[in-house]
Amino acid sequence: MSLIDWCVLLFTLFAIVAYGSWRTRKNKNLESYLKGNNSENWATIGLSIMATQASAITFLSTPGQAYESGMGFVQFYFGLPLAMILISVFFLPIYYKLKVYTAYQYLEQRFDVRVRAFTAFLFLVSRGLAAGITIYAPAIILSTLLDWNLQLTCLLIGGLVIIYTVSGGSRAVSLTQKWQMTIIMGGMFAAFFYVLDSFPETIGLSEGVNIAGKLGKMEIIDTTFDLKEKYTIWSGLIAGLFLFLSYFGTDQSQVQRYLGGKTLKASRMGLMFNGLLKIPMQFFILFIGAMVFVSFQFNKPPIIFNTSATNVETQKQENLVSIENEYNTVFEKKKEALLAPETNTKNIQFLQAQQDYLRTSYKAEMSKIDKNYEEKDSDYIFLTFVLNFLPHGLIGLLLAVIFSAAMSSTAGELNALASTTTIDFYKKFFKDSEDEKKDLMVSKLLTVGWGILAIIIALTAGLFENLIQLVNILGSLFYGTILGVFLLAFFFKRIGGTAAFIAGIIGQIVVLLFHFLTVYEVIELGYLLYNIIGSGTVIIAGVILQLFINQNPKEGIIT
Amino acid sequence: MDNNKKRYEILDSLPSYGPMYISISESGIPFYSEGFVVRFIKDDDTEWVANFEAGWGLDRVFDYPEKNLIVVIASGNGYVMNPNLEKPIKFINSMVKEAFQAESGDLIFIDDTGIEIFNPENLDVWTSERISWDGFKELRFENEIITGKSFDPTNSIKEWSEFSFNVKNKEIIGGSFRDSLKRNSHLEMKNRNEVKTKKNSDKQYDFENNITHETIDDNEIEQKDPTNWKAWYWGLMIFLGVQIALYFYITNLYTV
Repeated sequence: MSLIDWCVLLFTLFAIVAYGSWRTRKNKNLESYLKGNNSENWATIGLSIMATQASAITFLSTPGQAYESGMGFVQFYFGLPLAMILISVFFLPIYYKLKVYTAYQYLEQRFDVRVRAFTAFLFLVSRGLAAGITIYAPAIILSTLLDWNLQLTCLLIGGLVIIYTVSGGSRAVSLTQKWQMTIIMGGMFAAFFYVLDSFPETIGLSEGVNIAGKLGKMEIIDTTFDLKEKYTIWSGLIAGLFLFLSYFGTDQSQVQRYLGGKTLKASRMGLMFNGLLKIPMQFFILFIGAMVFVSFQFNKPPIIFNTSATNVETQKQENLVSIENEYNTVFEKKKEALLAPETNTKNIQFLQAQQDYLRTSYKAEMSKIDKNYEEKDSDYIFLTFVLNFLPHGLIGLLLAVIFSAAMSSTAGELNALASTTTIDFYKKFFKDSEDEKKDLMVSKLLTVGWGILAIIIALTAGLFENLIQLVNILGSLFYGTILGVFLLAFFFKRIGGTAAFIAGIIGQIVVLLFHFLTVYEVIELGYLLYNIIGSGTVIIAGVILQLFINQNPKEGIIT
Repeated sequence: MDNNKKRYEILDSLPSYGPMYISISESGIPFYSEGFVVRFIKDDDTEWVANFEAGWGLDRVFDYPEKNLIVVIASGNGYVMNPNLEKPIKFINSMVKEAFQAESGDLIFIDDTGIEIFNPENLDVWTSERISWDGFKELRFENEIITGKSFDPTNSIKEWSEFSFNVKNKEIIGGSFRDSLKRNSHLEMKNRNEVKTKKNSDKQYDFENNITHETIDDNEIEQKDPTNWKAWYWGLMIFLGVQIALYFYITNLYTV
């Protein structure tokens, strides 16, 4: 990294932190800290919703996903627009009518305090772990590729987020996310044009798409009905709908974003904004990954992208050297074939398969030498391209993009974790305080506490096969149950608190059971299905239990 | 009249022998389950047993020998009795949760929403405006002033708000119901138990921050919001359909 990159990176990061802290310096009560005094317009809400979801992992991992497996991952988001509509119609009016601070408050009014505490607890567990991963993911990649200290990188990301989240609360999160999202999209567009610029002169965008298509990277839609397949049109539309209903409708890190809206209309428009732009945005990020793949057909990529185990000893291994030599030869042959006036598609596909095989063999050899070597290196691909092909200054901006994304989603998570702990536990069970200043102080201390916990998780985490999948698996383990309880509350008016509470516990046990059976390869199940299994079990169990429980639902509830 | 004479006795249950008990209820309709049982002693020293229909709340008895009245609170139901008469003179309230006696002898009853004061001189009952949304706690009665906290389930941050009530001048300070109306100036009291939206009110004034917010009352906004949300929703679904169709086309174009 050059001096100019460092200047761009540090200026961008500190400008965001200073802006967030300065604009919200007058926060003086709990309401403005947790809900931003209902002052946000629809654009801020929309960008804030997108920024909370789009963590650094999105920008690091998604292009790598397209590079390795093609653009099919975009199907994962097909359920999102429908989820936005359902939340807009059913969830939002209830939250606004009840003027809740957290989604879980509604459950106490609808059921009882046990159901509220149970769902809030599930949220704290899942989001608390995810906050750690959100910091860890970019830190491990940046530290590996830039040779930075991992612990210091985690501390830097976590520390900066804590500063402006604690000082400005929910409004600081929304305001900074708006600018972070602008920087992120600006950086990604710039990266896209430099990817195209890295193509040979005779290759333009349409030829690039053609090459990606011939090598299987443009197969977007998979219509097979296979429960083992993670990403098909059906899993995206059905299981994705459940996941996004749960994430956007019941996850406090998102609910808090749109509850800060000036009006119900502003919040709805924010959700529509997200529904319209999310799929094109993900498509664009995946498309960058596919174009990076094309670029690496002409600019020789390293045989492995995770260079953490590449030291002098491994370089000396003869078999590794011979695999790499063969890899280089195949690369040159393929490049020649691609640039030839008449391309032989089958030959190119054969050479690509050979190149993939050699890459896999090399990684297998590396694993034999170093047992801790992580073979899955798709998360490193995009940043490798950025560091090798982008001009100085833009590298700094792209790194700022990654930091911004990590900070924006972590800030949203910490803010939501602190709100839920303050409203659903501290004020509910431990302290019935009349002192607003004290409550505000407690809320800020809880933000610091969750921030420190997230940093500790980040410092102790281990690399997973693909980080964006890890975050989604983590969410899917708990979201189904939470969504099931909310669906019981909204649509099953005869269900009482006891039935909902027991059904929630049963649903969570069933989801964990399915997950362990999948982990230990007893069954094969795509993790998106956990969302359907969880919510389905809760609803069925709730309805059956209510038949045996002699308890009327609360009277006079606002639904 | 001998003011020291025992005029009543609270019984644990209906007596298994002696004369038949007499059911006392607000409606006067006999009932047969066991309620709050009191043995009364008439002026001529004869006794009778009353089985009071129970409500939801406090059990207590207040004796006014100089007025020849006994006020029975039977699990929240308040009955004004003359021990010589085998039916109530007056029914007071069905949800009494706490009761205090003022220096004047007036009885102060507190239910889940407000206060009633019973005057044993003229048997009148004064009823306060609504003070709490639903319940009180930490009630204290000192120097003719009742203090405590009143519940507001609609206030997420401050569920319990303090109030005080001066028995002498009947002045109320604070209380969750007043606080709630203050926060929602577009609302007004319809009657003691209900609120309604004020006509022509689309703003609410935030006293603490000295700013005016638009109300976030859902019904009002829904009425005023001219956005055609159905068109938005259909538009979003059509956009999704177009994208999927485009992706299908690309997939088919490059399927290996």
